[in-house]
Amino acid sequence: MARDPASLQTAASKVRFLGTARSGTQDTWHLRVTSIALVPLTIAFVWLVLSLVGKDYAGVRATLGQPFPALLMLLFILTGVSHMKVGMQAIIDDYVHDTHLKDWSMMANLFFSVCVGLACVYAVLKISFI
Amino acid sequence: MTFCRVDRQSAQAFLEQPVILPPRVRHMSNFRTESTLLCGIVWISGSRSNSKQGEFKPMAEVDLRPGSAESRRPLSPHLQIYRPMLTMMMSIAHRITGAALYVGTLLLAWFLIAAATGPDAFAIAAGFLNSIIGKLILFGFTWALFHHLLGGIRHIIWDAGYGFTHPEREYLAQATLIGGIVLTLLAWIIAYIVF
Repeated sequence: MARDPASLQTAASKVRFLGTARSGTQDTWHLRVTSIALVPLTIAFVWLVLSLVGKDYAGVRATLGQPFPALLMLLFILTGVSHMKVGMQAIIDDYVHDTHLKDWSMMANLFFSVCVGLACVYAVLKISFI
Repeated sequence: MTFCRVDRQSAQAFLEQPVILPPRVRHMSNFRTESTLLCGIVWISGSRSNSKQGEFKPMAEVDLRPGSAESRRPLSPHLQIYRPMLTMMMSIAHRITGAALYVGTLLLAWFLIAAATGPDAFAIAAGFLNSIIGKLILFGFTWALFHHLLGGIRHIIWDAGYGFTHPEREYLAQATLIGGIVLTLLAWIIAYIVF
């Protein structure tokens, strides 16, 4: 198996285009794309929250039951949860090095993001349809 | 992403520290220069017998198992040496605000589920958010949101290739900091006017 001893790349990695991290730049790109989407979505979310200030139970349900506020909220939640999951994974990669703690942290991050995202989406849909 | 300036005096002090290395790698002391950051790429293996510099061996052949002689290699200086700068602080603040927002989504989930459940649950959630401590948490959450938003825009500007040179990166950092505070105050003033 001929391998240039001065090169840090193994033959297999040259074929697979990946290094020892075993994954490429998907996470970085995902963060960039979700960030760009979140710029208008966050401004819209803040505007929506400001419109909810001072409203009582019926008022909040009426606002969130309309199609555009509900859609904005859903888009913001889904994009935000995806962004936060990848971002927290980057934090875990930087600070957690013990193998088992890293695995459990990765799972905790995934489960937290999915639960919070699903809970928010369920609440918005419930307000819209019931 | 950002460049840190090393204080000349502390760099001098760092370089003048005695270098204690195991015998097999003692020739590494010749390479303890300001380009230490690049020294991980090749490894110099010296031997005790010959006095001239050893040959280079690739990092793949270095024994880095914990406890081996070669694993005790000199590392790049870190927080002990770099003078704190605004761009450094902004970088870690971006990460901290991101983590704070991560936890803060629980607040959003609580509010939405309370609104979906019924008037009693909503009264508890709204009562907490209208209390002093609730408003304090919301204010902090709003600031974290705007700061992280503007920091994200700053990162996108960098990704496009602009703003790396000397005055621009400082202006971007200051704009993010001041803009975050201004937007937070603006949002809360609007909320009070509406309410």
